[in-house]
Amino acid sequence: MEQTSDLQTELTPDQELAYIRKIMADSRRAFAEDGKPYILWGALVAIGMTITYISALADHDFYTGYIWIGLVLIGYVNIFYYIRKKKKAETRVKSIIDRIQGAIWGACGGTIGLVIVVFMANSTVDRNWLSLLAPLLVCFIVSAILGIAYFLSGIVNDLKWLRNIGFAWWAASIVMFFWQSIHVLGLYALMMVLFQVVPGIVLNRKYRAEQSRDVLEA
Amino acid sequence: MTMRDFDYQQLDDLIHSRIRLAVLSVLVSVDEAEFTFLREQVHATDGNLSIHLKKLDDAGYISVTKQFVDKKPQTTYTLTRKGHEAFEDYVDRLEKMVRKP
Repeated sequence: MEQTSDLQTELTPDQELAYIRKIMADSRRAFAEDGKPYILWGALVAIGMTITYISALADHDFYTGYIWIGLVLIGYVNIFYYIRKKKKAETRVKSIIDRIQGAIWGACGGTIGLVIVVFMANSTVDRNWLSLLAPLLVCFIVSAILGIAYFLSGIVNDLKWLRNIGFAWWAASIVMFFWQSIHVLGLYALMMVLFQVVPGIVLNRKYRAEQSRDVLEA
Repeated sequence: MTMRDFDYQQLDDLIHSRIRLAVLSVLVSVDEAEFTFLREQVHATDGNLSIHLKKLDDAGYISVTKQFVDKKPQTTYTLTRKGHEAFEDYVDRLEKMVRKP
């Protein structure tokens, strides 16, 4: 009799199926999101948007352009180190879930960056009708893209609440398009806190709880 | 219901071992996994796990890649098509056993 067969024979088929499901779920937990990029970008954009909103209300430019450049640089430097650290951990295990997750946020983040750069470049080169509408249009487009990212991310991670945040962003994008008010900037800052920073904190808490459970089990 | 009520002859002997079943369950969930990751998920000792991995490799259920990462040896395991099919068949049979009145 081989070394482990005695362990197996104690299980009935339904127990064995439950065992398989548990092992598969445990393995997938290794790819659970830690929420850090959500918190980072959510906080940075909320800060930038609040300053932009205050500037617009006060009709005074509080160096918003420089502040945005600084915030974006902080974001990219942190993300660079975050991805580098994650890549090192990835050498132990690779999964398609992780790659899809990276592709979703990479594609959506890249598109958001492209939209912002194009609108900023247009505003710098020529102050036409589009440049006047730029902040509001950017909020509308970026919200719609965030809706896609959250919806897909929720499906890939099998998290309904995360998927539903996609609906919240889509609803917000419709409001932002039709409202056409400077208060859209304030709404966007609020959305960033509620639907970017808060989900990040929830994911991070969940991730840390799973990690400590793994340590206890080991 | 006890294990005596089921005909385990229908099941693939190679998979019908807790550690090998656990290894395949892990590998079906990921693209590839390193030895230490498998050891953590399966809760087995190095020696015991190695023996079971060898059996799965010999049967063509998994493939092994040995390489150096940062000058350290690393062994990664991937589920082969044959292993995937065998695992699916094993799970199907278990489900049929459960459904059987």
